[in-house]
Amino acid sequence: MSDFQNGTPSVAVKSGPRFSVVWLLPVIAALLGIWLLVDTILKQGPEITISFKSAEGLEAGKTKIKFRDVEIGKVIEIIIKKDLSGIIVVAELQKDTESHLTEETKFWVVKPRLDARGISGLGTIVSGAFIAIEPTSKGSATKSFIGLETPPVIKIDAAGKEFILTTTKLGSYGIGSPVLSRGIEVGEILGSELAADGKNIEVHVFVKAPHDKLVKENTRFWDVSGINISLDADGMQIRTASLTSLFIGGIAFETPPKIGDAPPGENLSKFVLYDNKAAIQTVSYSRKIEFISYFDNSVRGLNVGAPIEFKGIKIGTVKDVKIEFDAENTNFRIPVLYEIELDRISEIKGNIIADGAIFPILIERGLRAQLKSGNIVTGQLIVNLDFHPGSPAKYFGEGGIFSEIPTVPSTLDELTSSITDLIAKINNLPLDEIAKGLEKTLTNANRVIKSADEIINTSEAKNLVRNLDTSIKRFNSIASKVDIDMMPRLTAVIQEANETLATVKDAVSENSPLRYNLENTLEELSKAARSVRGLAEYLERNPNALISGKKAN
Amino acid sequence: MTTARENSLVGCHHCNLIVAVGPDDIGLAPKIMCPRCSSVLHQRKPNSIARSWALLIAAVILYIPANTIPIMTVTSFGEGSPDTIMSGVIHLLEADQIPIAALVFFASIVVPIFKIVMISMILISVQFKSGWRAKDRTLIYRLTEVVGRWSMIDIFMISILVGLVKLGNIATIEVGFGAVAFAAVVVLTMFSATYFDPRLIWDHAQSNELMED
Repeated sequence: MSDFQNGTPSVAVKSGPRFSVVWLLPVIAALLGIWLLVDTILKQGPEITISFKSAEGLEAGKTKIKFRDVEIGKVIEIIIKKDLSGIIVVAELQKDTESHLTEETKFWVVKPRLDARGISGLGTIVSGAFIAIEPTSKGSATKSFIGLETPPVIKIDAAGKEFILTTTKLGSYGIGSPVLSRGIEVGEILGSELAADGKNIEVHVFVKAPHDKLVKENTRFWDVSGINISLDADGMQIRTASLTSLFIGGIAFETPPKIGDAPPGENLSKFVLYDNKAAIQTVSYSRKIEFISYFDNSVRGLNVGAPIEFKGIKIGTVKDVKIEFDAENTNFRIPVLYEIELDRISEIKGNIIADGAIFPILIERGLRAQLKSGNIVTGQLIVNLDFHPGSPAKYFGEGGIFSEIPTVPSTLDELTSSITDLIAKINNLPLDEIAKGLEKTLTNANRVIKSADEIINTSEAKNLVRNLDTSIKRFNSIASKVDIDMMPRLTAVIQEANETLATVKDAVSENSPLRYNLENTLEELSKAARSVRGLAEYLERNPNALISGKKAN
Repeated sequence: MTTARENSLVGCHHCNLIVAVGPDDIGLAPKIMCPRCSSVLHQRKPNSIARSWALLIAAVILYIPANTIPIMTVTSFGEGSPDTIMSGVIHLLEADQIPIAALVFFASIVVPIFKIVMISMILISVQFKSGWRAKDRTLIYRLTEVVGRWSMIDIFMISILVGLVKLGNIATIEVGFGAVAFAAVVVLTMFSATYFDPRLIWDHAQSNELMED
């Protein structure tokens, strides 16, 4: 043992702290573990449910929820609805997203799409579909949502206004097609849908601020898709708005100048979308009311599109002309359907024409429809509305949904019918009998004349004539005698009378001395009267003047 | 047979020089150094059991996140979910990659658990001064040391994959915190095994075990 110790060198000694820091390691590990646990609990975001029609492209545990391409959540579970009408996606979002989860929050699946804007979501072919969210703080908080089947047509945070354009057929524009104002892109088409009435199509457009101010209540929108080629008397016209709209369509708008200031278009207000710009120039009135009138007479020359005039101004057009047979009365009648463009009448005070409530009142006051010749040469007819007070309002009342305006016969009809009446009366005259009577009368007259002739030719008659002749001669001589005797005397009397009248005239004439004197006298008299009045007044105030006399002032 | 300590001798860990140590030396200073290579000499590794325990406990704590938190996320064509070690093994099994599944299962599940259990068993036995089957325990200890590093193949595999598979949307692999925790578990158990001084096993075993030989 000592051999070992002797042969080996002794150790070198180094002093140092004997502090074991190794126990820090489990402490750090434990702290790390606790931190992880707390972090996981704290990061636990809200769990939401979104319902979709189909789970195409979605996968539980894999599909992400992204906002502006940043992942903010993940799909945990996909459940089929109990009624099998769709699926419910259960997703977990990151913490602090609750404040943006409201009823207005939109979710939709982003997948490859081909639309007017081009191809979108192409990245999702390789990255897989994801659910996009458009958060908003508006509305009340909720945890269950209904997912959109297509990307939302409007971005919540975009400034501007949405307008609804109604049209009868969809043009070649689509979601994302531009909305142009004077050729500049100011918005885009958000989408289109069938209107509630099933007749029209509603196209939603979004006009970005500040251009949305350009849209007034009287703004006109029209389709500028593709090329517009028209061939008419002026030659051929080719119109296209822009190269973009040539390919993907578009809608343009313009606000025409108007008497008075038009109020700006409200958000979600409705406008008419015209097929092209030319259509606006012919039809630029959007608010219309349809009326029906029944005519008895021929409507030859009344075409669909014929104008409706009121006091000579076009206020509408004929929409339809038909013929109906009334089996009850075995009568034919012609219903004419026409629409009145209310915007053509500007109201000064109030707004009663616009809702059509004025028409029953007007009918009561005698508003009637009448066929009128629009063009004598071509025989075109128009429907003229005017007041015919006193004419009875005859309703057929079978216009269905359309209000009826009673009719009066046309002036032409009136003329025709009175001539017809006259002819009929003439026709009905007993001409033969009249002729016979006339003949009889004439025969009688002849007979009378003959007998008179015979009487004249008798001697008595001749004597009578001779006596008459002498009587007249005598009368003549008497008259002449009267003339000779009476005339000079009468003349003298008249002359004297004339002289007397002249004298009287002189006496009362303006420059006559009599009159002058009379006027002077009257004047003097009036002065005297005034003096007496003055004296009397003075005496009244100063009765002592009678004794003491008038004192000088 | 006696131990070196009983003969007041210490073997240098590095140059294998046998050095004589007086009882005074140990009492005076915490560290004694090899006169030839200046490395620190220990009769027994200082604080061996405490350090081993500390590292082992740290490893046990980290073993929980290592298995519950995803170690990596493979995203291919937008699809892919984070995988923990066990779910990765299950996916490999589902894909009929049985050998790889077995390898991963062995290296990443069996080995760490084996190490943790074995080291704690040895530590407990030493603390209770048990001399029971000292030779077997030494064998187990050696096995633990040897096999421990193989657990790292999972980590190496992930590291390589993350570096290589960067194909954007087509395929991407991201590391999860679980991988870090797992690597920490492996490293900590390795250190735990290293800090343990197997000579401690024999301190209480010499009487019965060696006599049998």
